[in-house]
Amino acid sequence: MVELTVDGQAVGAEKGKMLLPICLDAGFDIPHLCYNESVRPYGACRLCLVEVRKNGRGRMTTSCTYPVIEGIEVLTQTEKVLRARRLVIELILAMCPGDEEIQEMAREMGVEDVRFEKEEKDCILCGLCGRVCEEVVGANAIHFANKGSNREMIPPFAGEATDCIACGACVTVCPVNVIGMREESDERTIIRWKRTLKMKKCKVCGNYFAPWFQLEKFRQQAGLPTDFFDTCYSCRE
Amino acid sequence: MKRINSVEDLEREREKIRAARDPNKPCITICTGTGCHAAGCYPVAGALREALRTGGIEGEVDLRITGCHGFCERGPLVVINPQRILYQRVKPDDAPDIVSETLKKGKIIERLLYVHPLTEEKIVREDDVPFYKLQKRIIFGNNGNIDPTSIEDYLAIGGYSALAKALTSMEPQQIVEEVKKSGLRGRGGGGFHTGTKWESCRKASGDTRYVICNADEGDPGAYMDRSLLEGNPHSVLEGMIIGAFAIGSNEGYVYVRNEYPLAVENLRIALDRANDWGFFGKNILGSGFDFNVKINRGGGAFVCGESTALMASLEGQPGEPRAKHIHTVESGLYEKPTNLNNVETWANVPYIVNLGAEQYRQIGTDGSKGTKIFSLVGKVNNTGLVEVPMGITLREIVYDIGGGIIGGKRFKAIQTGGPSGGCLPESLLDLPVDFDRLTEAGSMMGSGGMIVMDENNCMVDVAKYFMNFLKEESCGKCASCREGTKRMYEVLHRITEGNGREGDIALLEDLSFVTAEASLCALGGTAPNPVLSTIRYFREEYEVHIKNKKCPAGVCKELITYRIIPNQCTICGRCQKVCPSQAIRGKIKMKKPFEILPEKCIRCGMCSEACKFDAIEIV
Amino acid sequence: MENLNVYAVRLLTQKEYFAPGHRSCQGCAEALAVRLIAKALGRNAIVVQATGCMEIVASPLPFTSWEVPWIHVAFETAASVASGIEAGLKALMRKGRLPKKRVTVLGMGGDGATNDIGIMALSGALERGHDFVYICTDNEAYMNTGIQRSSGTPFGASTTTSPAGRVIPGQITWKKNMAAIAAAHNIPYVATACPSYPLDLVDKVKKAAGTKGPAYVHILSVCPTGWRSPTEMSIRLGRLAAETGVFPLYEIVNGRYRLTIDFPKLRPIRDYFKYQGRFRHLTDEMTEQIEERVHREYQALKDKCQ
Ligand SMILES: Cc1cc2nc3c(=O)[nH]c(=O)nc-3n(C[C@H](O)[C@H](O)[C@H](O)COP(=O)(O)O)c2cc1C
Ligand SMILES: Cc1ncc(C[n+]2csc(CCOP(=O)(O)OP(=O)(O)O)c2C)c(N)n1
Ligand code: SF4
Ligand code: SF4
Ligand code: FES
Ligand SMILES: [Mg+2]
Repeated sequence: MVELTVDGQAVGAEKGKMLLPICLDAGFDIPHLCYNESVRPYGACRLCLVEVRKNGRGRMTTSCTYPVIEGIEVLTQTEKVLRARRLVIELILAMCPGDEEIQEMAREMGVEDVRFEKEEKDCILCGLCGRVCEEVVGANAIHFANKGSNREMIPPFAGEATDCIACGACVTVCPVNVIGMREESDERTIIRWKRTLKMKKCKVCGNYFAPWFQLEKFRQQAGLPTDFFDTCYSCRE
Repeated sequence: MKRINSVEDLEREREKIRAARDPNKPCITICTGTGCHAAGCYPVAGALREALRTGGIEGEVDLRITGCHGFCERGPLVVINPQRILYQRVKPDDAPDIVSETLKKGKIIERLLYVHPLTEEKIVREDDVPFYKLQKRIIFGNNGNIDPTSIEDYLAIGGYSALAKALTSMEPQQIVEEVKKSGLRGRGGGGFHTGTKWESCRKASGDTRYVICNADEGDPGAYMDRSLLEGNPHSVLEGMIIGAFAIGSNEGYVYVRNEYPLAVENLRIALDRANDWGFFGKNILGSGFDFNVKINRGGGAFVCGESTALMASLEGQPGEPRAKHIHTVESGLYEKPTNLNNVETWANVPYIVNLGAEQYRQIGTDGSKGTKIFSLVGKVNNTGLVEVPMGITLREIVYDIGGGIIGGKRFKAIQTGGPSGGCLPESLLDLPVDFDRLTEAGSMMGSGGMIVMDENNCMVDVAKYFMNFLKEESCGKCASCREGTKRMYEVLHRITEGNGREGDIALLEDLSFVTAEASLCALGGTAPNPVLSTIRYFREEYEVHIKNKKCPAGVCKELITYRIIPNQCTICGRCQKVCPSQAIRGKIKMKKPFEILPEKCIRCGMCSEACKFDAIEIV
Repeated sequence: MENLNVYAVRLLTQKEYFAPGHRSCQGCAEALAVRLIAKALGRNAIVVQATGCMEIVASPLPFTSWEVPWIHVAFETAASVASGIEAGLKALMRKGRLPKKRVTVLGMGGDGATNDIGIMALSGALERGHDFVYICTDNEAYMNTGIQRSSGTPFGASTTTSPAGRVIPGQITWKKNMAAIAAAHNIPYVATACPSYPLDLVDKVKKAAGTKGPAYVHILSVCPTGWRSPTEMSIRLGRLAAETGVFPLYEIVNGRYRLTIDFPKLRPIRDYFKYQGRFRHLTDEMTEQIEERVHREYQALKDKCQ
């Protein structure tokens, strides 16, 4: 355990834990878009900035990637921090002006409009979907490609995500909700990754319950018998 | 070659090589570095070989293909030893004369000599040429003396003696102390104290440690690391082995960009030879120390020169920087303690070990010791690679070594530090080359780019140029860097197009703040430098662009008009012939000055270049 | 949303705002619902809790399971206290006495507290348009005081005050449709949910919290003690309630109905009944009658979704 202060308040934390969740748990509001506790921190959105003072020297850093150490002094609301966050959200809003979540966040931070030409992107490039797909699901179906402002999150060669099992974890985690999933009769589609999979029908109740491809993958991975997924969860005795 | 197993064996072999060489035997060295290569050095080398053969003195004269000598502006360069006669801009046709006159008769060929631009004096010896005279070429100088593919050449000039000394008569900690004492700071840009870095890595816990040589060199226009690797790869390798021994590492990597095929090739040859000789592998020189190096070719993304991105790339991950709250000396490549140094930094190590920190410290300023190699380019007369002692002023580099501004034009600014360096104005020309002083002035040492600009350079345009590079090369991870550089470029672009708005300077300052302060790595951290330094020193120029929609330097196309000065026009019609857009009105028969039609003019400047009477001005 | 179940649940926060160690019965799905509600709302929430199981189990003085501000109020007053808090926050933020930030005010009560005794307060709060969320955790009886029937108890269920006997087959009134009553107030968001579908539940609670104005979520919460069902069946019973059409999962956003989980073919209702002691006495004939009405209502709901 280490002791630190956040905006003057003493906070105890486990050494090496990232600063952002510690501050959030302790009740300090820090805006953030690319952090999710189930995956490794990445530091892409640059919103979770705070000032950290250590041995009299201070600097601004993203709290989601900062492992805490004894005795640091954290300031979450300094002029500098607020100015930087406002500019970051303005830049993100200019990139994705249609994202309601971003509009809302910007408004809360006092940014009403942007001083740049608006683009028509929707993905804020937080990378959460890719990290979840890799670290939680293990499918590695999507990844960042290209550099600079050509960066995009895409399936290999921007085609169909052939490794995608259509589990929808990415759909859930996307902070701006731009991935999208559709289920129609016997098909499930992860819209953004152009992935459509046929669903399996439960032998007992007759409902479609999960994509074949996904179930087959699980079955093989876990070495389950061939008929294991013939019935859905509710019909299994 | 049989592996050498002791220092005694090494010295014996060295003596053998030296004994077999006659220092008075004439030797022609031909620079085949980047500049000379482009200027056609290989045909010259072929012609010389042929001339030696036909002249019948093939066996009496050595012909040595070397790496870059530095004076690229004047290439192809040929040096005749032992007199060290410098022939410049040599063409294949000159080869017979060189053989028959200089080598056979000892006569100097006047037309191939370098002429001092001011005194018009012809200079014979390489060392007397002002370009070289004011340099201090302790690291780079040997490029001209050795064939990089020959380990014997390197041994003959004392190569691997520092390694022998380090392995047999120094303790690892002692080497670290020596490097610390030398004051050597990283040449890759950050200027971190090398000894301190080594010490932290040495002390970091864990059994496996890595050393890496950063040869990614992504700065546009910079080629000193490349030239060192191409011209003297053993010096870099020797530095790495010593460093690995001091740090306690048995595994090293050279991360070199694939666009440097010759550097890769020469490095590979050097590594193979050094392996054969026993400078790599197990039990080096019988010391019990094992070390191996692998060469890894990078894809050429600028950001992969950044330490953590480089390590990610080495691991096979995408080349993106990571947060460094735990330093790479503790957790770097494969999360093991890793020491990364620049090519030039490594090349300094043998020199320090050989001559001792005390002697090394004699060169330089309080905070910056030793020398630094710069690639001096732009509007100076003598472009090329220069190695100067720290503390030398920018003025000395530009005027004494660089020979002043081309065409006697007015100096305007010097850009140091690579794409994210800054532009310094004339008033700072007396600034000494020193890590901290350059940073204070809003620029940086960087890895050694140096671009000289004259009155015909527009500073807004310059900032735009660098921002374009940076926005393309940002890895795109940080919203602040990716979007910040893009938007800065956008604003700069509109200013140069005449669409600048009131408040754009403040907007650039806001963007600079967020890009520098909110981004992860030093690419974002320093990206605003070109913008901030030009605003700081050339604010007026921005204002004129924004308010008056004019480009004082006459660079920004949208803001200039070409005009024919009537009483200077000789009515020759040349301009009309070259104009691709039929924008010039007039007939020679009419005996009236020609005229440019602004609505048709595409501002390509062809007419102004074609006019022999300076009759076309930019307003 | 719900069929994303495989990994998506792992993406919910691991942080608990309704801590374990409370005193609910084994297999209590109501406690699970509250835990998920708390996760969905996060830290910036104030919870107003009417008397009932969820108050009792979570606050045995001096302990509490709640890690957000929580107030226990009289049986019938959850909605009125929540309206007061919401109005107070708004005033203080306007005056600058509190920093402006998004705080969710949540009123919460059981089916007794909501459908019966607190309905007047709730109706008033919905009608006045307070920016708050009201959640009913419906275990289909007054469980905390010993399984007395409420207007949320389904037809045919045996409770201590509607015991099944030779003459009367348990509850003889049809379950009050609270979601429809809330919807009749023309509020912007109404939904039904069940902790057997955790992502769907979290999603709806988040939507409710994000709604400007009143939002109502009705959550079916399996109670093994009161339903006389095996404790390990709670999750499956919730799913069966949905799959048989007994408790359809839907939302009404600004008047537009949508089934969030649709079953093209409903399961026979006895699949749901057979695990519950409270329905043990039902004859096949009665089961069929119930099934018939359930299907009719399900179809009526589907029609609204067109
Ligand atoms: C965007 C970026 C590009 C860099 N490129 C190089 C490079 O090409 N070569 C280099 O040696 N260092 C480069 N660096 C600096 C390295 O991160 C690192 O500081 C250096 O290699 C350490 O070696 P030194 O201590 O010997 O200077 C770069 C840094 C950044 C931020
Ligand atoms: C005015 C009033 N009447 C009766 C009670 C006794 N009482 C406490 S809890 C409870 C039952 C609560 O039932 P419900 O609201 O359905 O919640 P559950 O316990 O089933 O979760 C009753 C009747 C009371 N506290 N206040
Ligand atoms: S799609 Fe969504 S989760 Fe994926 S990178 Fe874009 S914004 Fe992030
Ligand atoms: S600062 Fe720029 S280059 Fe560096 S990690 Fe961030 S986006 Fe990539
Ligand atoms: S949450 Fe820290 S950078 Fe995005
Ligand atoms: Mg109840």
